[in-house]
Parts: sequence; structure tokens; C-alpha cells
Amino acid sequence: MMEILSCAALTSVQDLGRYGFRRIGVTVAGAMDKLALAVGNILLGNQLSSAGIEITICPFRVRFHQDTSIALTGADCLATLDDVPVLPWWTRSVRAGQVLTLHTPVHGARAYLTVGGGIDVPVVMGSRSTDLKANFGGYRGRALKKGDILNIGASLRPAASASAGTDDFGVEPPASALPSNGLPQNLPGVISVRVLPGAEYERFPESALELFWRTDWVITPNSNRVGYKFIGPPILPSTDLEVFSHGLVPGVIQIPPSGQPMIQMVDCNSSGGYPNLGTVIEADYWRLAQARLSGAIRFVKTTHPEAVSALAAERDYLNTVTRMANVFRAGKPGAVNSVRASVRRRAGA
Amino acid sequence: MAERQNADLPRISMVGTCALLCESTGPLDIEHQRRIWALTEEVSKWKHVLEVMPCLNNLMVIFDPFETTIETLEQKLIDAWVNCEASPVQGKLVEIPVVYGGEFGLDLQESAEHARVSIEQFVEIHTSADYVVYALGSHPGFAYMGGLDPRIFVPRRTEPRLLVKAGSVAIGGSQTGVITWATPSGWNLIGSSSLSFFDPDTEPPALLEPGDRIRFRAERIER
Amino acid sequence: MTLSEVKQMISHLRSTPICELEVSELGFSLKIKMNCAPVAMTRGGAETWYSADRLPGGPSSINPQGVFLKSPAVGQFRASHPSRPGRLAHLGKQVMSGEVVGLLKIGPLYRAVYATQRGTIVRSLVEAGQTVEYGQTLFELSPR
Repeated sequence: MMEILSCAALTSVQDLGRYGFRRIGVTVAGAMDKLALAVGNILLGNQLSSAGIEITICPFRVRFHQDTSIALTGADCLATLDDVPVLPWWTRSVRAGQVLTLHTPVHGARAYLTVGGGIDVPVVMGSRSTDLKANFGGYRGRALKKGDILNIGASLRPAASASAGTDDFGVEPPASALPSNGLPQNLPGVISVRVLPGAEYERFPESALELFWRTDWVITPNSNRVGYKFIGPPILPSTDLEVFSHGLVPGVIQIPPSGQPMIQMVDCNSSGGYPNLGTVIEADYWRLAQARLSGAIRFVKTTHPEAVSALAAERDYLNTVTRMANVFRAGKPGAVNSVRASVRRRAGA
Repeated sequence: MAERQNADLPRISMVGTCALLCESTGPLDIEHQRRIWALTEEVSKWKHVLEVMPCLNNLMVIFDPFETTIETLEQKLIDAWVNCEASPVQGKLVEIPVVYGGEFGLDLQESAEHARVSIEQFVEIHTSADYVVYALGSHPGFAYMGGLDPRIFVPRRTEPRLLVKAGSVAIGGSQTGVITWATPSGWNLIGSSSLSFFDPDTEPPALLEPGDRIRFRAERIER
Repeated sequence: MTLSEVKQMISHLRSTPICELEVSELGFSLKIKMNCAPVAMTRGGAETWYSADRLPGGPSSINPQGVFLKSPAVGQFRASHPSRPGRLAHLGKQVMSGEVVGLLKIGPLYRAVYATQRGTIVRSLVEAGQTVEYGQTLFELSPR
């Protein structure tokens, strides 16, 4: 088990999400940066869908009450294990009694702590993710706080023998390993994400669309796992739009009557009735998840083939990391298709 | 292929890399919604489709983009749309007991005034209709219901409330329903119900399904 | 001492473990620091003597007190982590035991090169981007 010694708001147990229940109004939830969580699990030899901890505000301190292994991915939180620095995007063993501390990152917004065997909380509706809006799942349906004791699942990894294999290694993070989304990063603190046009895209005049693509949209403090709200010049449609409620996915960019765009994120409602101007492509979702409050987002128009190609690059990265990590640990080779592969299994398709 | 009176083609648009939204261009009514149910049933069985989310006069199809293309899927959706028959589903009848007005029906008085009827008449109109669940969505267990009497349409509030109590019975524009979770809402609160609409630990987790018939029953009216 | 006597002394010193010698006589003082003296490596309390030209990695200048950090794997040496600015280690840096002084990149993964004890990096024998062998000497550390 592990004990939370110090924890701020917005820290919760998450896995890759709760799929298949949008049609009864249940949000997908799960890690905001699912790529980072998946990589942490891969480094440890866990199932891709094992639950980890999403940390948003630091410092975060935890004491391990048993020998285990950990991985740290996502934002570089200058972690220390009993005051010994731990590199980001790294896995290593920890001993009972050791204390891990995460500090406020310089870049990025969310860090992921995964452990050998995953966080052991009950599976509710197919997932260990915490639904923070509806208060179920994860650890008692709520964010973590000081004093919480978490059980850790049995590690699936075979013990690394002394001469073969290692459980102390790192991985090249997506920011440098994945092809850049080829977009000029004009200013520090501006993250570019690619967008596919949505249902109401053509209901906006050319001038409004040009403004949308050209603006560096500042993320307001009123932004969180439910959605990001932006301030900037109003984006107004040609005529008043009446839109029937329709299904939503994380990444949908809506334009409410105020003209200030907002992006639905992982804890969004499963349906809504605001105009959909476009949707951030799945492969850039992790970039969005690592955007900080008061940072800015630049939206860039793309095509479906480019979006699929970007997702394929992500899948290839995960496959390569899995292969190499298995070799490092001298375990059985395996393959994972992508973060979606686990989605497919869980939805029962 | 049979000729259809209302075979207006659907509007299909992308919802990011892995989803398509398929919208009817017809009016929102029970006949169109029945076709949405039928289409949902069929599309859910397709290979490479991961999830189908039906809503009001539309359905969102989530698919595996490595296994199929949007062109292929779009064509399949159009073919299915043109050929599908309205679903004959008759759901179960569910009666929802409601305490109208009082501290959880804060907008009942104002809503009745808007409709230019007394509170008793307002409640009478609300409870004498048969409603049909068109779809579930928004928040857990919430049902979009059709069948609200136009006499008691009440526009959404200009300032939404930050949090309304779970179980709030409400009217938003031309729709009525029970808000099943403590959530922000711009709907007008006319009463409350203690019925459980969602429980993650039971199977199925949601009480209602598309096609269910709903009646509201007034337990009492509080002032 | 004549110059030829100094040369003879140096020649003699080469075959001894002495690395520094100071001689002072009335009006005269001589200090000799040997760069090519044999090296003593202590492992597990046992001293082993190597001659300079048979050290793994073959450095030509020796500190008999020096500690050598070896590569843990075959891979491409990296002096910094992609997420962080600056080098992990540089000449003159004082490092703690267990501190990461470099990385080995193997495909998308990294192994760490650790300082085996506390000390100062006095020499780097590898460049960023260079492919290294398992066991190849990468750094010389002067223990604290």
C-alpha cells in the first residue's frame, strides 16, 4: 500500500476511462493525458488500463509501505525519492518506507504516478476512473487527500533476475519522440493543436473563422477537467443557431452565445446543445491536457487523413516502447495497438 | 428500395478523428426519434464501430479509424438511414412521484405566471401528459423527454444556477425532465422527486431507457 | 641535481606507483607530478595494478585515486535529458553517489549512467551522440 502524506486538490485515481456509457449520460473521465498514463503502465509491464494517480497541483508526497515499482510520466515534477532526484518519464523500484515527492513543474500541467500492478480500487462500470462530477468510482468517488491509504495491485511483472533485465530505465517523452505537429510555436506558452471542422463550422462567416484560427486563445482560470474556457475576440455565427443536444467527445470546441470558445474535456457531459465549430484531433489531445492555466492555445485546421496519420504515429511509439521495455525487463514480449485498443475491449465490441 | 415519404438525407459531420455525427434534418418528433432508435440498434452491431450515442434527432458514431474510413462509414450510414424503419419499441411505463413547489421548486410560481395559469393548473397540465424518453445523456441517468404541453413551455433562465439539487423536476424551453445529479442548470425548477435514476452499482445503472413512457404524479404542492 | 639525473628519476618513477614526488635540498626544490604512472584501482578492498596503456577505455593520464564510470549498456550516449535544459554532468561538477551523470539511449528507452560514489567529474571520455559499448569508460570521477 501507499499513503498520501501531502496532496492538493485535483489529484485523483484515473485509468484510461469509462467507455460505453455515454448513452446513459455517464462521462468518460479517465486521465486527461491518456498517453502519459499508458506509457507509465507500459514501462512497468502493467496492463495498459491499470489505474494510476493524476496529479495536478503540487507538492504531492506519498510514502510506500511496501516494496514496489513506480513510473513517473506527464509533466516533469522534479521528483525526488527520499531526496534523491528521479528523472521524468522514468521507472524504478522503490522500497517500503521511501517517500516520493513531486514539485511544481516548470512545463506541463499534469503528472502521472503509476505503480507495479496498478492502484487497486474497485472496478465500477468497467473502469477504475474516478467520476468526480457524479462521485463514484476511483477512490471512494472523490479526489485524494492527505491520509488516504491506497492498495496496490499485485505486480504482473516477472521478477527481474540479477543478471538479466533491469527495472530502472526511462523513455523518450512524446514531446520529443512524436513528430512535431509541424506547427510554428510562435511564442513560449502557446501550444498548437490540430482541429477538424465540426457540424456547425460552415454556419460561421469567413471573417469569424479566420479570427478563430488566427487568435492565441488564453486559457482562463475557469478551466478544468470538465472543460477549458477561453477569452479572446467573440466568434459569432452568421445567424442565431439552434442546435439539438448531441453526443460529445473530449476535444469538441463549442461556441456558446457569448462567442467565447470552450473545449469539452474528459469530464464533460456526454451530450450538449451548443454549436460545434470543430474538434481537437485525438493525437493532439495530450498536448491540450498539458496546457497550463493562463497559457494559450492556437488552433490549426487539419484534414482527417492527417489526423489518422498522427494517431498512427502515437500507436507506433507505444508499440516500440512496449517492445523495448519488455526486452529491458526480460519479460515476455507483447504488443499493444494503441490507447484505443483497450477502449475497444472495454466497450465489448 | 422502398420509396420513403420523409427520406430526407442525414447531415453527417466529423467529431474529431474517431467519430461522426449523423443528424436528421427533419423536425424533432417521436416518428423521427424512433428512426434514430432503429438506426442506433443497427449501427451498434457494425464491425469497427466502438460506440453509438443517440440523442435528439441525431446519433454520434465512434469508430476505429485504423479499420475503416469516414467515406465508407458515411456511405453505410446514409444507406442505413434511407432503409431503416422506425423502431416499434414501446418502453416500460414509469411513474415519477413529485413534490411540486416548495424549496426545491423555486421557479414554480414564476413559471405558472409565465404560462398565465394558476399553480394548480400548471401542475395539472404537467401531470396529465404522457411523456416519452427520447434519449439519455447530459449527466448520469438524465432523460430527454418529449411531450411537454406547449402551454407550459418556459424559456431557460438567463442566469443558470451554479448547482441544482439532484432529483429536481424542471422545464427548459420546450423540454421537461428530472435533473438527476447536482449540476449547474439553466432550467426552471418546478419540483423534486426522490426516485433514483442512476446507481453505478446496479445493473442496469440507469432507471430509464429510450422509449420509456413517463408520467409525473403530484404527491403534493408546497407553497 | 643535474637535468640528466632528473630524467633518470622520472624514468625510474614510471615503474613505481608514485605519482607525485617532491625533493628539496638546500637551494633547490623539485616537484614531479607523473602523468603516466600506473593506476591502482580498488574494488572490494583489493588493489589491482594496471599499467597506463591497459586501462579499459585507454585514458592516457591517470589519477591513481580516480574512479571510472562505465557504460551500463550498448547505446548512444546523451549528455542531457530531452525534458530538461543543460547537461546532466559537466567537468568540475560535484556529484553525489547515485546521481545521474549521463544517459544511454537504446531505441526509445534510456539507461542511466550513475556516479558510483561521491566526487568531482574530472574527465569526460565520451561525446553526446557517440555510440558506446557495454563497460566502456565514460567519465573519470575524483572521489571526495
